Amino acid sequence: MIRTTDLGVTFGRTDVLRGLDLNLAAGVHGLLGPNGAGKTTLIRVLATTLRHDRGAVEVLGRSLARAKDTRWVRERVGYLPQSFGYQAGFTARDYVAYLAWLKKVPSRDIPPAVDRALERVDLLAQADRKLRRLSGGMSRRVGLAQAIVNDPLVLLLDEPTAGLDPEQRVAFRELLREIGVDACVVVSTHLVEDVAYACGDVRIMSEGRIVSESTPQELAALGEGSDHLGDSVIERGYTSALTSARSRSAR
Amino acid sequence: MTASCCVVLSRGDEAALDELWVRHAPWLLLRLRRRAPDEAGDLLQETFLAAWRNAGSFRGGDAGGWLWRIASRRLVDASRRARVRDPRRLPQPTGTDAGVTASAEEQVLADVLDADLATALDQLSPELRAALRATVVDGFSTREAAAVLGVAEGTVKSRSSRARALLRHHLASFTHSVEDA
Amino acid sequence: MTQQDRWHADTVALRQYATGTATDAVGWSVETHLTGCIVCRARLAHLFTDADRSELSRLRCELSVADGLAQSPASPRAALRGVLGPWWAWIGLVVTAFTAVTLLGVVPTPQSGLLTSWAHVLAPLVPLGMVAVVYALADRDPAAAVTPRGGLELALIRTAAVLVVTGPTVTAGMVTIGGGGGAAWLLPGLALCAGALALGPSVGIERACVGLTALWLAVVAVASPPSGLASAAAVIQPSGVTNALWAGALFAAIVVVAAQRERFDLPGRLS
Repeated sequence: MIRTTDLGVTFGRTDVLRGLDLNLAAGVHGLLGPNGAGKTTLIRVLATTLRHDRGAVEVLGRSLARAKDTRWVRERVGYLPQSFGYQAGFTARDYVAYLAWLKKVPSRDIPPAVDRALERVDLLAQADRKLRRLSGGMSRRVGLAQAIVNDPLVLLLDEPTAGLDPEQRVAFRELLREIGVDACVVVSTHLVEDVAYACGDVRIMSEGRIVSESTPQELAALGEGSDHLGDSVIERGYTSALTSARSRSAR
Repeated sequence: MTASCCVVLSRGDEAALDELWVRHAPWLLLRLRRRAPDEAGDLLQETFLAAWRNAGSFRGGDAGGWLWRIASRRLVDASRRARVRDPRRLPQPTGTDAGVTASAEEQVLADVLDADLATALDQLSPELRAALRATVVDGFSTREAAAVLGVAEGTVKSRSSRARALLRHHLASFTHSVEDA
Repeated sequence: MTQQDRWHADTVALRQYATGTATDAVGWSVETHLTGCIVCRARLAHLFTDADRSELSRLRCELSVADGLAQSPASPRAALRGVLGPWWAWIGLVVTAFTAVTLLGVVPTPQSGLLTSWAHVLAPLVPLGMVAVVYALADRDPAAAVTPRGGLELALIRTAAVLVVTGPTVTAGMVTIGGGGGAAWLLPGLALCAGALALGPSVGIERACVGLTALWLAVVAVASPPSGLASAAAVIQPSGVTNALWAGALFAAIVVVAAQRERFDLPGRLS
């Protein structure tokens, strides 16, 4: 559902992404990596918000060369950026409804779709509160609600669990897995545990490239008995994979 | 109905929900049961809560269709959740395969439904019928039908078109046999 | 619908359906009919088994309206507010624009014979300023930009709304202060707006508005004493020639926007 070939993005003189090859089908795909690895940039390219400089990108079978295709794709994509802005007076429900309209959800379907989205992120009780009065975790969930309101085929999430408490994170993971049954979900996150329990596969990025591609189980196996940094087996596996990738590129 | 299990609420709210329940809960329960026997009760309750919440945005017209749309979305979500819990779970047997034997009652059905069509439908395998039901009767998109039936989207498409082709074939052969008689 | 109301499901079929013994053929027919027929739904309820009746009661009993929370449909105005920004901003802008125009109307420009007042000089900037404010207030969301309507459609709706509101307002103000040139400001005003749209895909609509405003003010500054360049004054002085030129500029800007319309919806280079 998402395919990139030799994807490259350059800001000024820096190659933020280079030689990126991806082939993602339905399921939940994790994206890990240190700051500056290019995760957010990759998500932004896939979300059609940032133009790439080299290589090819195909989302849902369409390249993003023509506006008609881009609009078609955007109708079927959900995107949660790292930080989203909103207008001062909006309530959570209003905001999600506005985004639903922008995404061309048919007018008569908007209220039930908004309701369903808010229910799935467990925000019905706060639905009519002004956005500025919501806590960080709650507004993150509003962003998630907006991303899923059009029942997208591709869901791109950049640091979605920031501010969520552990119980909410569990619920969030369940939701992702449910969506991943027939949609392509890409989650970029710092929190390795989220990746472990929700994702079917994990890619580790470093310095603009994908340096490792494995399942959470394989990462955990890598971490078993290793003495790399990390509180959990998965974290150790992640650090281990990253370190060997770095030493490979140093050679 | 014991008093202890009901929460006491303002008359207005409960009355509105009762109104909706009396009219629509029976048929919705049966319809959901034929698609998800284990979860029909839960789905019914969820549907009604959602319907009651969104009653204000109901623009008139076909209340049954509106309710079914809400119910069917929840059915899709529930199917996906079930797939997550058990990826190998086979789709539930849907509808019944009550035999094709023509009973006296079924003869009477001739004026309810074209008996030829009924027989033709029963000639199809349960999987084909399920695909046809999901796409035609329930109004699911291919993607939603795939989630509900627990198969790939391509399978939904090929099964529906095969079902249609077979139906056409069976109906054509009935017409011929009538003419020959 | 009337056809369906006249045709009702056979009792045998309904009973089979109620007891779960209907074949698919019967079931589908009954189900499709029931979504639209009040009469048969009631008949079906009567045919329920006792077991099912108590099941229904139990389910109803467990249901608490409190779980469903408040009834509050999404207001359809949410989309409007999202597109245009808060209503108070519009009221404020309209009032400010009108007041500013009428006040400036009494401030004469240094060079007589040029334009009667600063209002005439600055009126064309009003739509530009309003577009910039609307975008500043309403366009803060990277998620909203990446939507089918969030590109060209949104830009056109916002610009059109600004023009529809500022057009009559400023013209009314100009007419009020008199001195001729009631609607003369419109052509340059429209051309500047279209110019901002044309520059939008390249630098962003807000920046384009600010840039064009600065450019216009620079021209005004150049046209005023002490330099008092006549050629600069000619640009902002309404006359047959400049009107034609502004009309030409407007047309050119529209052509550019049309030629670039794809870019509004394509991924860009966000800074």
